Amino acid sequence: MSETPKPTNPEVPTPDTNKYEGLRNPALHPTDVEIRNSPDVLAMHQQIIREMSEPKDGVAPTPVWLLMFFFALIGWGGYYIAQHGGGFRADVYNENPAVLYRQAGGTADAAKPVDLMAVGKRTFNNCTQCHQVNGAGIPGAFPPLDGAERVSGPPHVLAAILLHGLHGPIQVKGQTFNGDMPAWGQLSDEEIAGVITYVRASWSNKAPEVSPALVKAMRTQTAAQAGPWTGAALDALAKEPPPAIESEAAPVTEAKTN
Amino acid sequence: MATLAVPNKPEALESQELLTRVQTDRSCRQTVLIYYTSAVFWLLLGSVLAILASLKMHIPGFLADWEWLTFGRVRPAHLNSMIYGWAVMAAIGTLLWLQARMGRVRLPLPLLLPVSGLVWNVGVAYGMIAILIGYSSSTEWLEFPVPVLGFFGFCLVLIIYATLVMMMRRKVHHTYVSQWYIYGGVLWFPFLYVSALILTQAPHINGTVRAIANWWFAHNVLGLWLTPIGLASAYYFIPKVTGRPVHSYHLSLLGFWTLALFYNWAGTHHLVGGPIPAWVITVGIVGSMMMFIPVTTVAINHHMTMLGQFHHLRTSPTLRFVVFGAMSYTLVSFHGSLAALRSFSEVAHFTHHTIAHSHLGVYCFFTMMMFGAMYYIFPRILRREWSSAPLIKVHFWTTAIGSIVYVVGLGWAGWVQGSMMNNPDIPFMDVVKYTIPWLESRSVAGTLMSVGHFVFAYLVWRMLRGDGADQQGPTLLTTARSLRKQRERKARARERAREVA
Repeated sequence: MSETPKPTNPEVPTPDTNKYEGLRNPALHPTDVEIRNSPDVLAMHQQIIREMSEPKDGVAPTPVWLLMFFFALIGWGGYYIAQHGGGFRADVYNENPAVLYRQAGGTADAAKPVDLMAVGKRTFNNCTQCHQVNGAGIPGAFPPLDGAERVSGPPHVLAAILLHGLHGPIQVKGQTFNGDMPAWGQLSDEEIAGVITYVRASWSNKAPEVSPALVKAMRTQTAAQAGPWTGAALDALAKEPPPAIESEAAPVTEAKTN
Repeated sequence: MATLAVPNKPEALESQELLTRVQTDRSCRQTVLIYYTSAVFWLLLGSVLAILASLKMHIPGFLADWEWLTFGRVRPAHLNSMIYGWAVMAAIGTLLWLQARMGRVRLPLPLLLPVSGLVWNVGVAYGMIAILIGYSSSTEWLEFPVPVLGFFGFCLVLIIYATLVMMMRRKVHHTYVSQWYIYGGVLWFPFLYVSALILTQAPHINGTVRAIANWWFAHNVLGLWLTPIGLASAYYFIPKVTGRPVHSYHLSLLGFWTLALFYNWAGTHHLVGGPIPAWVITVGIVGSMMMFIPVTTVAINHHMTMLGQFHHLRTSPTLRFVVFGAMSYTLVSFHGSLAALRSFSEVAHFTHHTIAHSHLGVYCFFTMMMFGAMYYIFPRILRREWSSAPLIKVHFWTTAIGSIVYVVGLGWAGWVQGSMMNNPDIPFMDVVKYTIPWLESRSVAGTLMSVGHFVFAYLVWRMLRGDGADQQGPTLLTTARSLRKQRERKARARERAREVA
């Protein structure tokens, strides 16, 4: 960018620059010459007049209350990391401290919080073909789940049906159905417990949830059962007490924090 | 400098200081001018793109048929134009001038630094075209294709070199607080940029690591690059214009080192609820909360320096913008610390609230700070004055009011939007419908800000033409004459009121 010629002020005579040493000094920048040679005192000092000196530092002390506030803040930071830092582990994704401690002490099974309703809803996709999404079944062909007596009855009977299937005439809500329900024993205890829990708590059903441990116990107890149940066998089973549950591991249902 | 034989007398020292000042300003002329005028150009382009993107939020069919201007391209084009075009170029111009001024040295590399300004422009232009024709890398804040690193890297190497040379050649042994921030920012940013490019673009690095690196970078561009340059400007211009020393050297020290220590950790709070290990997010939240320390320190330091000096805001355009920026810095940082908390993020995350927050940072703080710096530096390097005080006022009030409307409106709307989204009973379309009036208010606010930008560009253009060349003394918003006129006007109004009564 070239120097723009400054407009001349007619009242100020143009200085005869040859008189000044500045121009004879080749190392001196044109701007310096311009300033040194200006006969206009105001123009010469304009830079000083218009501008304060370069900034300087003051030395006021740091207030003590401020430092105390900072120390409190740092203390909070340490507490927060200890509580929600997940132990700096690469495999802990939940900042909730309870999850970390269970993971550190318990087995792999116990570490995984399971939402049985979510598992059940997903597993129920296998059932909608016959029982329908609304649990109403198809009159004359497939029995309803919504409002059915057995669904809200003893849960170990439901687990037995799921594990081994059902064959022959049964009574549901005063109607007789004569069909086949396949066995779902290939599903995991968790999935069977989930789908039973889901069915028992959906539509107009209000029965409590069922633990995977009960399904596990039922699977062991009915291991000898070959082929599907009949309606009469189920009625007999309903009169028996539910199987003893081995471990104390209650189903862990936890709202997702993420 | 050395060629001038100046007698060692007190009054001569003053003229020595004067000469140094003129020489450093003169040495910065080409470089700073190239960076500043380019920055203003990208600011205008970014404003136009911003308005297009904003309109598309409530008029979805607007220009939707032209693929160059679809929302997915216009929005990153706006972001990158504003960050790499406007903010970074303005920051480089400012930091070079500040370094020369505070070290009392001439700007080195008189040929290469202006060239670097041109090269930077080529890099931004190349990246912008790549985004608009659909070759964005689709990593937020790093949308420019990787080869842009070649252009930016060349410039950054020169700028690091120039900054360090000015540090070594400085005539004043004591380093002022603004200089620390500049050294910090200049050395941090290239490291950030290169690491983030590798970690987000290298083919064998996949998955959530990219997200972590991306937000580490995106947050640190603001915190470890724009913030240091913005704070260096505030620390320089507030005492410079008011003529008072900075309140406390100790607070300056504390503020700088805690910023250096904590800011780097803060970025991962953007991933609250994301599929990354809990400790990464927790550390990010604690880092963000620890930012209360540097921010409170800087706020006290600036406020105590300004105490009793607020009348300067009536006259000095620089101070008006800089103080607006400094206040916004306090506000945006406190808000950012609290927004990092999980309970806050659960509502505000993924809403317009975040957009409002980022504009409070990059616009109300950094951009206003750079306007203030430019109002100070342009007349020094060109030795001309701003041609119109009323236009400067228009610039200030349009940008100030526009940005406040933008941030308050969108911040509120975003909070309500987040609360509504957390309620599963509210249909999603109701949430969308709720935000529309606020998105329209954003378009109005953005237009107001853009009007201010065009006024500023007009002022810069007139300055380049030399329209204010014959003016004596600085262009002040309020002069003795305008104050007298104002008093007379008020007196007349009172008289008229008395006559009517």
